[in-house]
Amino acid sequence: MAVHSSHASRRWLGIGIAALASLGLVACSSSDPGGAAPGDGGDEGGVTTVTLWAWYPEVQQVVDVFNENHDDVQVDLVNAGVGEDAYAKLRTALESGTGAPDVIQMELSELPSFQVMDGLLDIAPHGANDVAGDYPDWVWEQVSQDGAVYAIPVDAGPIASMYRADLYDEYGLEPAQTWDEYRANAQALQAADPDLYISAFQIGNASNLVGLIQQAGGEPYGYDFENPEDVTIDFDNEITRRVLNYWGDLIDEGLVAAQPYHSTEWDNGIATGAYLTTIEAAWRPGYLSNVADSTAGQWRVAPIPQWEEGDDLQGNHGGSTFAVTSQTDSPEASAQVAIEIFGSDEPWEVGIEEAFLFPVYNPVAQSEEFLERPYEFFGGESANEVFVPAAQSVSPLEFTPFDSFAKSTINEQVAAAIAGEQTMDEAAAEIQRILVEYAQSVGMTVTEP
Amino acid sequence: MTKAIAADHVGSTTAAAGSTSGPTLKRRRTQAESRGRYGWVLLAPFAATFVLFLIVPLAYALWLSLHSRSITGSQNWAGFDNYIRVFSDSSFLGGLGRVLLYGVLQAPIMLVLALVLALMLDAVTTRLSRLSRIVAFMPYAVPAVIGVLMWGFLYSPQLGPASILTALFGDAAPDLLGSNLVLYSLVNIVTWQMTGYNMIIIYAALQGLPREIYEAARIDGAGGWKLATQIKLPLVAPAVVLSTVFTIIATLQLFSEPKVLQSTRPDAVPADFTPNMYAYNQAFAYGQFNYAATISFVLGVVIIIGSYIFLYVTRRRSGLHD
Repeated sequence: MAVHSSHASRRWLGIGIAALASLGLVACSSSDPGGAAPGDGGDEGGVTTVTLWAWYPEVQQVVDVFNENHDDVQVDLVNAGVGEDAYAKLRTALESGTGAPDVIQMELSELPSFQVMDGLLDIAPHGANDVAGDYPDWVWEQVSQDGAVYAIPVDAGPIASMYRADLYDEYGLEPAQTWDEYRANAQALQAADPDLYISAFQIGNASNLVGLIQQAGGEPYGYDFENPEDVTIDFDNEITRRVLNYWGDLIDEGLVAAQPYHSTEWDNGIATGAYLTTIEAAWRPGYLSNVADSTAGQWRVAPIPQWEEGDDLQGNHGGSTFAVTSQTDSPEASAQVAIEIFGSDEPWEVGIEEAFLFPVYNPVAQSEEFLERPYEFFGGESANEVFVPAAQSVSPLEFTPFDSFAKSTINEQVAAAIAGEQTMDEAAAEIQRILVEYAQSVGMTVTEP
Repeated sequence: MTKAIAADHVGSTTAAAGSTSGPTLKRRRTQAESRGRYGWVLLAPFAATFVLFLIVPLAYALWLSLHSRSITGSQNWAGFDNYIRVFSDSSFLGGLGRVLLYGVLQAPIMLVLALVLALMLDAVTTRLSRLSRIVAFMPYAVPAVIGVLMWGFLYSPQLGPASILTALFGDAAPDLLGSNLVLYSLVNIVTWQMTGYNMIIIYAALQGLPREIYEAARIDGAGGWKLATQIKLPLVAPAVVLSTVFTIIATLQLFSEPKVLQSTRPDAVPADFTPNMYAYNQAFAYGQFNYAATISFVLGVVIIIGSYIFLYVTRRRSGLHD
C-alpha cells in the first residue's frame, strides 16, 4: 500500500514536471524578447532599428537611401502584403497587443479604421506639424485633426483620363471634355467598330467609383477623428445616382464594357486595344505599363471629363501615407522614419523614376522638373501637366472607420445592378441602408443629410 | 455467402481478444497501472499544448462571442445577442445554404469518382496503374491557391479554352465565374483537387483487405464486377464513411477556393459567399472579432451536428458500432 501511494505521488510529480516543462517551454518562446526579432524596434549600440511594412514598388531602394543617410536609425523593410493583406495582419496584431511593425504604409481611406482602434500614434509631439507646409491642404486634412497628426502623406491618386492616342486618331475621336462628349465618343466608336469600347467599367473598384462620385461634387462620408462615434453617410442622393446611372446606362446600351477590376479580361482588353480609355488614378500607369507593355508610347493623358462644361472638379483614388503604430517601442525614431523617408528629393528620384508614384510632397510635386518630366509610356509627353493641376483641385474627402465594409458593400450592390438584379437607384438606396445599419450596429450615431 | 466470410473474419478476432482474460488478469492489471502512470507522463506535453492551443482559444472565442464591442473599443457583456443576430443574419444563412447546395453536388460526384478510381486501381496491377495512381493524386499536390488561379484562367470567357470551343459555333463563351455559375465551377475545382486524396484513402483500405477473401469469392464464382460491388465495396465502407465525414467538414468550411476567386471576381464572390469567408471578413477586414467568434462557434456546432447525423445514419457501415 505504501509502495502504491509513493508510486502515485511520483506519478503526480511526473505529470506536474512534464506539464510545467511544456508550459515553461511555451512561456519561454512566447515571452522571448523581441530584441532580435524584427517588429519591435530594437536598440543596439546606439542604432535604433525601425520595422516598416510597405508594398510600394521599388520601396527597398527608397529604404536603402534612408539607411545610407542615417547612422542612428536604420529601417528594416518587411513586405507584409498589399493593402487588405497588410491591414488584416495589422488588425490582428493590434487586437492581440503584439506583432505590429513600428511604421506601416497605409492608404488615406484606412486611417480612420485604425485610428479608432487606437492603433496609430499621434506623432505631432515628434515634429510632424513642422512639415505640414510641405503637403497640400486637402491631404494634410485627412491625416490630422486639431493639431494631432496620425500619418505623413506620401502619394496621391488624382484621377485623369488615359487614352490610346493612335486609336483615337484612327477613329477620329477627341479626348472628351465633358461626360456628354464621352458618351458621344462611345457611340461613335461602337458605330465604327462594334468590337471596340471607349472603356471598360471596373466592377469591384469601389475606391475609384468613390473618386468619380467625389468628382461629381459628392461627399459620401463625413467623419472626424475627434468624434469617433459620429458619422455622416450620404450615399442615396442626386449626385451619386447621377454617376451610377451614367455608367449603368452606358453599360446597358452596350457603349461601355464591364469587367471585374484585376481580371485577365480587363487587362487583356487594355493590352489589345479593345478598350481605348481608362479613367484612373495617377499611380495606375505603373500597373498599365506592365499590362500593356506592347502599347507603351501610344498612351496620352487628358483631364477627367466634367459634368458641366467649364467646371474644374477633380477626384482622387487612393494615395497612401506612413503611419506610426501604437505598439512601437521607439516613437521618436519611428516618427523620424515616417517624416523623412519620402520627405526629401533623393528618395523621390526612385519613387518617380522606378515606381511611378505621384508625390504629394510639395517641393517635388510642384517643381518644374516634375511638371515637365517626360514619360515613355505616354510617348515622351509630360503626364504631370494634367495630374499636377488635378491634384491641386481635389477637395478633401473623409472616410469612415469601416471603410473595408463600405467598399465591399458598394462593390456588391453596384455589381448586382450591372447584373440586372436591381436598378442603380436601388443600389444607391441599398448602399445607404446597409451602411447606416452597420454603423449603428457598431454603436455609432449616424447623420443622414 | 460473402457476408458470412466477412462476419466470420471479424468474429474470430473478437474471440481472440476475449480469450485474454483468465488467470493472468491480476498481473496484467498491475502492469496496466504502471503503464498508465507513464502514459500520463508521456501524455502531459500533448495535454498541455492541447489545452493551450485548442481549449484555451476555444474558451476565449466563446468569451468573445458573448461580448460585443463598440467601434471605439468598449467591451460589453452581450449575452446571447450575437447568437440571436447570427440566426437572423441573411449573410450567414445565405452562405450556409450556398455551401449546402455545393456539398450536395460536390460530395457525391467526388466520392463516386474516388471510389471508382480506387476500385479500378486495385483491380489492375500493371505499370500503367501505378502511373495512373500518381496522375490521379497529382492535383492534390498542387497548392490550392495555384490550382484556383489556374482554373481561373481556364474559365476565362475571353481567353479560356471554353471561348475557343464556343467560337466554333459562333457563340460567346458562358461566364463560368459569373454569379450564376461560380458555385458549379467551384464544385469542379474542388473535385479536381480532392478526388485523388479520397481515392488514396479508399485505395489504402482496399490494399489492407486480406487476399484470402478474394480467393474464396473467386472459388465461389464471383467475377470482377461482383468482387468489386459485393466484396470490396462493403469492406471498404468504413473508409468511404471516413472520406465522407472529411468531405462534409471541408464543405461547411469552404474558404480558400472562393477566397482566391474573390480577388479577381468580387462581383460573383461576395464577402459573405461562405460562412467561413463571412467570419474571416468580419474579423480581419471589418475588425468585428466578437461577431466573427460567434459565427465560428455556430458554424462549428453545425459541423458537429452534420457529422454526427451522418455517422448516426451510416453507423452500420462506419465500423464504429455493431
